[in-house]
Amino acid sequence: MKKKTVYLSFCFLLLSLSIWGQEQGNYVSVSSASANSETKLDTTITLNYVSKQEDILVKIEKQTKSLELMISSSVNAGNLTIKVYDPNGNEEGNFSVGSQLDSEKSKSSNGTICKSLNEPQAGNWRVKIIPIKAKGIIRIQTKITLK
Amino acid sequence: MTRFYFKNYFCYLIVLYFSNIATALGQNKQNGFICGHLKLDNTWDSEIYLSYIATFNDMYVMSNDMIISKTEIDSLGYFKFDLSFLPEEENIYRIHLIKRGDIPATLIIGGKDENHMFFIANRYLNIELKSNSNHPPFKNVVFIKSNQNIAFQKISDLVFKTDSIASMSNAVKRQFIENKLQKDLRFIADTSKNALVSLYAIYKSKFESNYTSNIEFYKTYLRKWRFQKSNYFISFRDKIPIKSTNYNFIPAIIFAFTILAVGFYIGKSGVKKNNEIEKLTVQERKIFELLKQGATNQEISNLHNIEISTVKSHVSSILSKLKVKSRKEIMNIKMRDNSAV
Repeated sequence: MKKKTVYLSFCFLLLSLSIWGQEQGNYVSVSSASANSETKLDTTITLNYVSKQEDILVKIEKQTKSLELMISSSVNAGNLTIKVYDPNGNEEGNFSVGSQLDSEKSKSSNGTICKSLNEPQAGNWRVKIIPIKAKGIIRIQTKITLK
Repeated sequence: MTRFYFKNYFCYLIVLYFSNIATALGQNKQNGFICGHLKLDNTWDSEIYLSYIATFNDMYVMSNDMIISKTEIDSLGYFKFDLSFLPEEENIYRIHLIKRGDIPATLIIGGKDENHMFFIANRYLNIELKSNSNHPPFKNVVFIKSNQNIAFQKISDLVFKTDSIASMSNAVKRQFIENKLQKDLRFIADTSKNALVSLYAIYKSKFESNYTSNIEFYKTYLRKWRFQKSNYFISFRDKIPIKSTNYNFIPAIIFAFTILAVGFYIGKSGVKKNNEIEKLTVQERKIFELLKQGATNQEISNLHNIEISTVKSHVSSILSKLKVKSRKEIMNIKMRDNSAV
């Protein structure tokens, strides 16, 4: 009986150690990847009728493995155009959203553009924001993975 | 009796004939629609929206004003829009879905939730489509009817597939793939018989970044579609700095005729004067030549060793024969060639 109890205790201990080890391993691996090879940026811009045109630069290094870019916007007055340019100045995507009435949710407009690239061209990627009497918000999310 | 049956049979044939014509006419002018089947999961709302796209520059513009109709998608994924309220001419339209909780004017470009597709329609077209994808819902759409939309969708598919491959490739390979795509799209644009399909291919080829290296192509293209007066082509012409050779010839023709008329008048008066010069005697021609050079009577007298009165007589005769009033006019006479004198 005693022998059986010791055996069971040993098995339980072994199983616990094994599970604990697995969790620690995953965590370390994810954490390591996040810290060393992955950069996430999340920028929010508020537009308030008088906002001027501006460029947001996303710097891409040579050793970048992949780029994921998501720009989403919601406008409830005025017009907003978003354009994405690669470092050579080529337009990689665009959208415009517009709304004529203010503060009326049903008359708002939403626009989202998603861009995903392997080995993106190194240099400054440009997100051009062109508001015209626009009220709303823009969210720019990037995920850059290094080699 | 036989005659009675024959008469009835004849009337029956006439009625049948007119009935067939009426049916055929009715079929040609029947109300247009777009219907289809989509594979949607429960993250999508059950309404689908139809928007009018005024120019190709507005393909990725979203506002509530653009939405012209909406309809329900049934639980099996079927929908149908009545298009009988559309104009007779073909235009570009967009259908889009929204995620549950989103506002109607929501546009998602790229990614697994891309929520829209474009097509050509007018009030008579019967359009039927079927989607074979869940994510995104308008990927791999097949048009069952409507040749222009089959051609239109081939362009969308080509761009979608190529973009997918390009996004997975490295920068150098991606450039090569994109160049090939642009070339293929220009070929489609060049060979397409439908103006909107052709222009759609041009827009998808990112013409703004490559027209400088393909100027001859775009010149030919603009010449080919020079009679297209739709907003789609007007806005395209505004976007591209190359002007077509569709010049307005009228001012040029008026200018040319004016030049010709002036030239003809000058030439004719010159010929007339030259003809009159031929009427002069040898001595008068010599004096005429000196008069042209601005010589005075005294100078002519000295040069030709003749009396001043003789010079005056010759000058008077020359003025009379040439039908001019003064020595100054003689100086202005242009000679056809020197040998005339």
